[in-house]
Amino acid sequence: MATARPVVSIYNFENPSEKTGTMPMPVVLQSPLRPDLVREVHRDMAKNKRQAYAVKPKAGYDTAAASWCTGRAVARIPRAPGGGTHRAGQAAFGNQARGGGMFNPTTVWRRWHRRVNVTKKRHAVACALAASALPPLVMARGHKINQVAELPLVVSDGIQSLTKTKQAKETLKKLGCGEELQKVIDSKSIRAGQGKARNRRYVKRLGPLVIYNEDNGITRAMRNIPGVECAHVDRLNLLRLAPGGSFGRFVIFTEGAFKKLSDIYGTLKSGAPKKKGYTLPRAAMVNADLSRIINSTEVQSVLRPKMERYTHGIKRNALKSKELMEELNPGSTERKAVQQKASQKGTPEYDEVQKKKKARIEESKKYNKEHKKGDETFYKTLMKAFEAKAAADAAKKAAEKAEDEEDEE
Amino acid sequence: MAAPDLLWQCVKNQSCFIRKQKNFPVMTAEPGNLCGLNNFQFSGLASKKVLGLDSKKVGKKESIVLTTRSKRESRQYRPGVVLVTTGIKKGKKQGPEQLKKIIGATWNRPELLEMALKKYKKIKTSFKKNKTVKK
Repeated sequence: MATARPVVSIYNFENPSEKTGTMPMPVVLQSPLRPDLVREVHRDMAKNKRQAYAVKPKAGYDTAAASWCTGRAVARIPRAPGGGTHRAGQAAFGNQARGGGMFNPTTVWRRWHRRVNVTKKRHAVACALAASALPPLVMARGHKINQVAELPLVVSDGIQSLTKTKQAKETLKKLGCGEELQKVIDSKSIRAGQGKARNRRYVKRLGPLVIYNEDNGITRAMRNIPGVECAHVDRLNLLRLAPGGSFGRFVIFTEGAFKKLSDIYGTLKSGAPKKKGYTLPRAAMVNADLSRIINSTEVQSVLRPKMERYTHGIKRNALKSKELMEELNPGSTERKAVQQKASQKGTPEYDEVQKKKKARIEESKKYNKEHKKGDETFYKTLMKAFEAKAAADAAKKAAEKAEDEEDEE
Repeated sequence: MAAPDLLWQCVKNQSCFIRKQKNFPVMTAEPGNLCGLNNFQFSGLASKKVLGLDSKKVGKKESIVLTTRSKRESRQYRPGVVLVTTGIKKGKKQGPEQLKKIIGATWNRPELLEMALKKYKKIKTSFKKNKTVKK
């Protein structure tokens, strides 16, 4: 939503290439866009022109039928009484019976109409008007507006005094509506469905809606141009502003009507002068431009720096991939290279290894000499101790045996 | 002008340009849509920065036309003038160079440059008179 109200040019109806003036855009035309609201209100408002339809209350029950009950080898459905005609004895009343009533007969007391809250209706109209001022929405609705000078299209008041259809058509064409009018003419086709037999034979697209303030002939001039509709600015109908529930109708305002919009709807502060107790709808989000909000300095300045997400590449096996092993275990390739070299004769690494080996062997020999030769070896000490004990035990046993022999004797 | 995000929400399901097919992404015929896909990224209706590359045939003359959106505030409400069309040269070198110059400038969707170049190639092959079907 623009902070400053854009200025709208008013085009001269006689010579639409020139502008007769400018006007700031009324605040209505900057109402928040609410397609959901418009759709809802349209759906309910559209029900209000319905005419009741129903079957006759007596339909299917206008016989004195009664069931023959059991015992007559026929189904128990009520049957028409009497005799002498085909009708006698035929089934009646049930929805399954020929000539019987329908299931759940349609009634005239069906709730045909819907009431919609006045404020809701007003909000929807404001919203639909706002949509008609936005070229993308009008284009999306299907109107051909490429030749139109500006949206909203405001024409000087002279157009309200047009009396001849020919003149009106010329004016519209000069205003850039030629493509649109042609679209309507080309779209005339026979309606699909039973409507064609019910006085609704043809369908065609809708063209521009001309909103005027004073009818000095304009309605009559415009009414025979296919697709063109007229509306008084005091009595704007959502069903015309958002046909089918889709907003973005191509609207042509007269200068007087455009001016009157401000008088009728006022501003958010003042409320609507001509609609008691009504203020234009407020947007839930004043600035709906998300990218601008996100990229604004107010937001960017308080953001933490972007997290570096660790993205896992394809899993590599460190035991197979030398690079990965080096990454994880720095120095491993070097060590491996050294080990490799160490097994090759003649290299200094090999000599290192051999030297170490020799030293180890020398150590071992020395140790062995010390601890494994001579009389003080582990084994000998162990055996000595054992033999000593064994001798002691043997002596003890001999002594005991000698005692026993003595006792026996 | 309403915010692009808001306009997109209004227009994404409800537009006369939408073309749907079974088992196919939703497409749009709106002017200013580079890929013709019904996406916020490519939208020619909702976006403030619009990029479209199309072929145009006037009589016998075939030309390649680049569509961008005018930056001027005054033009945003003028449906006839808001989308600016530039002709792109058909020369093998000049065309892509021109595209790079116009699109590459930061205010005009530089991220779509690659796609635009691809489309440019395709448009050029569509102009070929002796079309051989690739097998």
